[in-house]
Amino acid sequence: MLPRSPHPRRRRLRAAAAALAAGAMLALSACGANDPSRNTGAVGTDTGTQAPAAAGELQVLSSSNELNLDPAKSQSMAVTSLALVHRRLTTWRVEPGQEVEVVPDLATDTGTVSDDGLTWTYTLRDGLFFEDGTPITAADIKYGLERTYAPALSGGLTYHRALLAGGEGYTGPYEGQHLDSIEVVDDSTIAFHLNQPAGDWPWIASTPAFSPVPEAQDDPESYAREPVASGPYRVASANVGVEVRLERNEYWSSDIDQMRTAEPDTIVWQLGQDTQTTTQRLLNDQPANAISASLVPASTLAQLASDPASQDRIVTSDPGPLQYLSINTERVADVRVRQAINYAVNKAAVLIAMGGERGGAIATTYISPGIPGREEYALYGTEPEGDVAAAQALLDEAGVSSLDLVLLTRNDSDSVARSEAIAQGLSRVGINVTIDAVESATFSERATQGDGSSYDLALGSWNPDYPSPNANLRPLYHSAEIGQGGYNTSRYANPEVDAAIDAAAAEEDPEVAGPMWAAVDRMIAEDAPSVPLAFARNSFIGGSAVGNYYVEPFPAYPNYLVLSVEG
Amino acid sequence: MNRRTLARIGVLATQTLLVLVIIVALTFMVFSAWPADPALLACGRPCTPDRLESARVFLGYDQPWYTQVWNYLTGIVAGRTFGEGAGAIHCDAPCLGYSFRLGAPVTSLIASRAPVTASLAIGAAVLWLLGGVLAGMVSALRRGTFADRGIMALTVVGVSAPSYLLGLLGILVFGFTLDMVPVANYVPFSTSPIDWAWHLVLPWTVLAFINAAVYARLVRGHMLENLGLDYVRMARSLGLTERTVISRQVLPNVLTPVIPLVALDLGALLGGAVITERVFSMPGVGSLLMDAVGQTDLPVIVGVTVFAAAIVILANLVADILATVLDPRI
Amino acid sequence: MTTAPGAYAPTPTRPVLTATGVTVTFPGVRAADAVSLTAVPGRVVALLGESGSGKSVTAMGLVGLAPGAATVSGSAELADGTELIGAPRPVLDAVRGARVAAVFQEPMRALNPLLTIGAQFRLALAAHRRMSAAAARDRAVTLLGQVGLGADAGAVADAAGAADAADAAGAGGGATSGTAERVLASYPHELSGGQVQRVCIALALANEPEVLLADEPTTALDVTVQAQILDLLRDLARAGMAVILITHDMGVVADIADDVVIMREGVIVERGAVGDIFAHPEHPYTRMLLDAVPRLGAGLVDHAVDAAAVADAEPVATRPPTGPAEPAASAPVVALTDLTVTYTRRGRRPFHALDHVDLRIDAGEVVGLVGESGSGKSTLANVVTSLQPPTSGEVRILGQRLDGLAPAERRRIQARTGIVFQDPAGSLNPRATIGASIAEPLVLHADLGAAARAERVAELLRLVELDPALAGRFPHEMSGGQRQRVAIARAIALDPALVVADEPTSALDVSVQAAVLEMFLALQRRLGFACLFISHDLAVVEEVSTRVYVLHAGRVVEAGPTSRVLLDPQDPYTRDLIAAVPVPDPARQAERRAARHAG
Repeated sequence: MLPRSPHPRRRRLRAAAAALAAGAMLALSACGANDPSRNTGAVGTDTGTQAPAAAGELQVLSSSNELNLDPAKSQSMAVTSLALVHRRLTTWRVEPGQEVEVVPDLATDTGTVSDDGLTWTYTLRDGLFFEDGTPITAADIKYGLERTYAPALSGGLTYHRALLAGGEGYTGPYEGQHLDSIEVVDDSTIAFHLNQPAGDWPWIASTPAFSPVPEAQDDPESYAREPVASGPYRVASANVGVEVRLERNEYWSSDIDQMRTAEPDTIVWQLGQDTQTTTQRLLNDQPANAISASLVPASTLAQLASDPASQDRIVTSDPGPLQYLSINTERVADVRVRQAINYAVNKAAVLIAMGGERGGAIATTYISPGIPGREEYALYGTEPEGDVAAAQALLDEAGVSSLDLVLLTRNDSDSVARSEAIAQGLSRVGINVTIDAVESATFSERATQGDGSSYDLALGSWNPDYPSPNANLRPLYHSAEIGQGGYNTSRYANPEVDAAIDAAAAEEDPEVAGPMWAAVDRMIAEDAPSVPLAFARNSFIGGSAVGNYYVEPFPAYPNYLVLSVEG
Repeated sequence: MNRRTLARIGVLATQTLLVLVIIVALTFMVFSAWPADPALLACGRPCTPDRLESARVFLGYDQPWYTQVWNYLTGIVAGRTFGEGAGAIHCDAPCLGYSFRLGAPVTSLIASRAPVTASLAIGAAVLWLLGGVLAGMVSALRRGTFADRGIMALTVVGVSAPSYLLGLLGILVFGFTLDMVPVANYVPFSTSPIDWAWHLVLPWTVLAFINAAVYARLVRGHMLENLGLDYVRMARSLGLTERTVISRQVLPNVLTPVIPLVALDLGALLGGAVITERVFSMPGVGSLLMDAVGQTDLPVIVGVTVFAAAIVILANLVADILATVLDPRI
Repeated sequence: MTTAPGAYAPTPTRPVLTATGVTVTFPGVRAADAVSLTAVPGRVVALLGESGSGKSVTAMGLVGLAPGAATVSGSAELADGTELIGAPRPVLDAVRGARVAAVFQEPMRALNPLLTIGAQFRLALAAHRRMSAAAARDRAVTLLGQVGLGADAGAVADAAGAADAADAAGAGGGATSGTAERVLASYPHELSGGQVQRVCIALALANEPEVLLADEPTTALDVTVQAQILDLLRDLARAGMAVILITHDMGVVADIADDVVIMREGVIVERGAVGDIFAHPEHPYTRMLLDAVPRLGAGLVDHAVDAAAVADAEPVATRPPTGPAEPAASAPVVALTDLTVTYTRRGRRPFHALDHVDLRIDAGEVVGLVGESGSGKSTLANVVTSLQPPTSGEVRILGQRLDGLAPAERRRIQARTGIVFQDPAGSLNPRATIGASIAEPLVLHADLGAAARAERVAELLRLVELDPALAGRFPHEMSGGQRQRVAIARAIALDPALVVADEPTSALDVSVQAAVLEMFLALQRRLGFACLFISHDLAVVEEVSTRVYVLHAGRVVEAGPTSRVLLDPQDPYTRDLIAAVPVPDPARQAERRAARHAG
């Protein structure tokens, strides 16, 4: 039962483009117009190609048109673009082969919590300066956080807003009002007063909102392009949608920053780059001092499997971000049917659609690998092809003989391929799946808004904003996240689970919280509100001159803070 | 240009303005029915209902649609302010909306990208006009020969090949295999005219090839038709050499209907050469739109659509004026 | 330059161009076979023939201007021995314009629409000599003066074209106050047809050629304009030019030709001095052609009869109205009273296409309507067929006022009105069989079964003297005459009370025209419909109609019994019109011309 693709032509084009790209991989590259060696050095006589590059320049080729450097509006991770310009109270230690860890950044530690768990206090390091030489104080942190409440500056990561006391109705500092739950104790001490205990607070303090913003230089209209840097780089020039050029911030010192090596002299974002072309360029090592900010497409990955040369350019993470199939619990109310679906899905086929072993690994839990507290278990068997007999038995028990389900998915070719694999697997137990492939925007609207009455199954993917089970399980399974933009697309509401999530989230001691989260994971799985399909491996490509280029399962993105450039 | 011509141009301009206002209103209404909530982009993560609501209020999406249309129209004339007080965001006239995602007025986004698209489109237009006219002339004058058949076969390729495929093919062959031209990026003319042209050669060629095909066929048809007309016979009977007959007599007649068409095609391209810009990683208006569609950045989508519509309508106006000026009979 | 100033006065007998055994073939067709021809200074040679006779391709083939697919063989030699047939293009370029020039049938199409007349002169002059812009301009002014478009001649020369030209020209206005300068600044569309043909002739004369090929130079022009252009050509010949005149019109030949060469299907059938040919045609084809020509005043007992005597005479016995016995007793079929049609366009002054026109057609009566282009003929036809509402005045068709009529009533009246247009190729759907085209009004207005319809179509085809088996043919498979018969069959399909025939035979060859006219008249007698017969050809109108209206600039300038109006015109315009028609009799035409010039 194949779905009718709404865009057959586009899919053909993509296939053709992929074929071309594959052909290009075999093409020999001579020394000429696209030769990176011409870019370094002879600037004056260069008739060629890229902007002249100084030694020690790193280029980031991004398919996106934006590089938003306003911390209030950024959803950037602690180890990618924004963190090169802005330091936060805490940050992440991402090192090869090690589980990601929250570490102090501007602060001297990851925070001390009061006995009641409601007050977190941080002390700033000595010798911190903005790019203009003014010292960074606790007031700058407070102001940076306050402005995230302004309607003009929303859009970023705002986990703190639900936790900071008295935040309801606060609309930012621009009218002269301040949020008293952020307390500036002295120039180097800041305290946060919460409305509930939050064990994740040290992680939350690593989000962009916890970057210092000097009030005197804040213009909400232009701060995204002209931010005041606290990190090793400052914005030299920002051409919206085209190029952002970072240069060294002379007031930053490696002495008081252990996480950023800041090796390149300049870092340049080339925006709006076609991913297919970028991949091809980097396979040809043109230029050698660049990385792609985009994932290598699954279609390309499959073709690269047989090309050993690509191994030098491509870095692939261990399995990380969760790929899952939401089951709309309001429409598929019988837990036995949902369990049967868990048994019946052919995860091996889904993995093939993801590009095989290079694309990921089969998942049986909801918490992703690389996140502290995760425990491996398998409630619905470990057969990659699924357990048809067990599924059939459950369906018989539930008295369901035939079932028609609508599978909502985004209409990109990767998602549709995975949907087809799922439909194929479910058809083995008589479940008839109709694939409803829609534009990404429509998908969001139907899955996260409204009453969810238009789908039975939905294909999703989740990479938490910070490596805590709370950021993994709460958005997907807490009943407060149903509709209104929330990501609980299973529309799963279990008061026991809600309570367990809240309890685990309140626990500050990671050693104690870990087992609690593992239990929640299992507890949810018993209700089978979704099928964990696979943990995706993310692959990235970079030029030969780029060093320290690696990807961990979490965050499943390269650590930009430590990249180096040869020469 | 006499008084009648001027009067005609005046009427055309008034009509154009009216159509433009209607287009703006229509575009805005159509995109107001967009399935996704544009306020979601400004909501952040995690997105709570009250935050979503405050984003709606801030962006004006809480208003009834006719108020939104009115605000949009007045914004174009007088500018707009989102929010209040020191935290407000100003969008100067002509305000085509404010992209929350990119943190910039749509007008300035378009303005920063228009030079790229203009470089791309105008260069390509010059190339395809020259190429198309030349190919069409050769084809018509050498009718039935190998050259004619070859050109016509090429035009079939040009007419039917999607620009995405041609672009990738060009990148593959001339960029990677032969390594003759760069495959991506735009260098502003002010930075280096040589690099500017050098980076645009391939996209120009691809766009020109596709469009020239139509022109070659058109010119060939007009040329053959004109060569059979009495005035050509008359000119020959007066002893004009064939070169003079073609260049001084036939060519103006062939180009008169073709030139307004160039204005139209150019107008369509100036609104964004979407696919070509994307393939060649050119930060033009088209790639802005494509990116915005992918991200549901509604203000940008609406703004670029209005801009493109305006350009197309202006191009129509220019085409009409050109036709009026070029052909004394109109 | 190749042309010495003396070229305009050579020895009269010595040909400047001698064509021998010229054969023109198109793929699969031989258009002209071994045609020989000479062009002698001071003489006009008419190459006469019907369409398809090969006269035009032969003449144009002499200087390599035959259509591209044509192959020309034989010899065409200039006096100095230059061979033109098969000559390379540079040789031809040197000859064309400078020694042999041409003018064509459609003057409007012969000029480049995008260039001013001045620019076209510059190009023509530059082709053969190097001269300054000012010199070229002076030369052009001189040339325009020669063809009657000089400082003051233009106004007089082309008065007839002024009515439509004034409207078309707008600001140009070359027709009424035309100076050569103004003409030079004009675009072709700003001038009248007659002016443009003069310009074409002036262009042809620009480099003082010895031979002028004139390919149907007056066919597209109104009759009064034609007379002026023919005068111009004759003057040129008198000044020493060798003119080869290609024409189908016996009257034109009689007017200005010295020698006649008659061609039929690519072969010369007869040649001789013009007087001899008209007086003693030897070849049967020549005789047939001469017989077929409608002659103004034909059917009257004697041309010399006192005009006043015939003015009261009954129309010729063969053409009495055969409708109802007492036509006057019943209501007229058409009654137009004080009819005015005004076109208003923004920025222009209102244009009265019809200006207080009264017109009446009784049942069974054929009424002629005569006028030149722009006179309002077609507007009147449109009013009668209710395609054009009047601005003011009353229109009664079949006794009913058209304005305020219910759509159903209007349809009923339209069903009783048949229309025949000038160009049958244009009025018949090329994708429908002629049977379907004829049946179309039956489908719309009559409640007939398919079988009955087919029967009626067959009957109609027999009425127009066509084989009913032709019903399955398509228009392009038929000749022009056959197509016009089909158009007539369609017009009478519903047994109309009125047929409006708008120039129904103008596009036809003279021999075909005669047969179609005869058939149409027979049909009219038999069926008894009233007919509004519109034509620019006075002789044709005389042949078919009992009464005639003369239309000029939207006004009826004269109306009355045909014979009276044509033989004893009262209005000066009617008199000019009649005087301008060349009659196919060289001797009489010479008298008429003399009289016209004297008047």
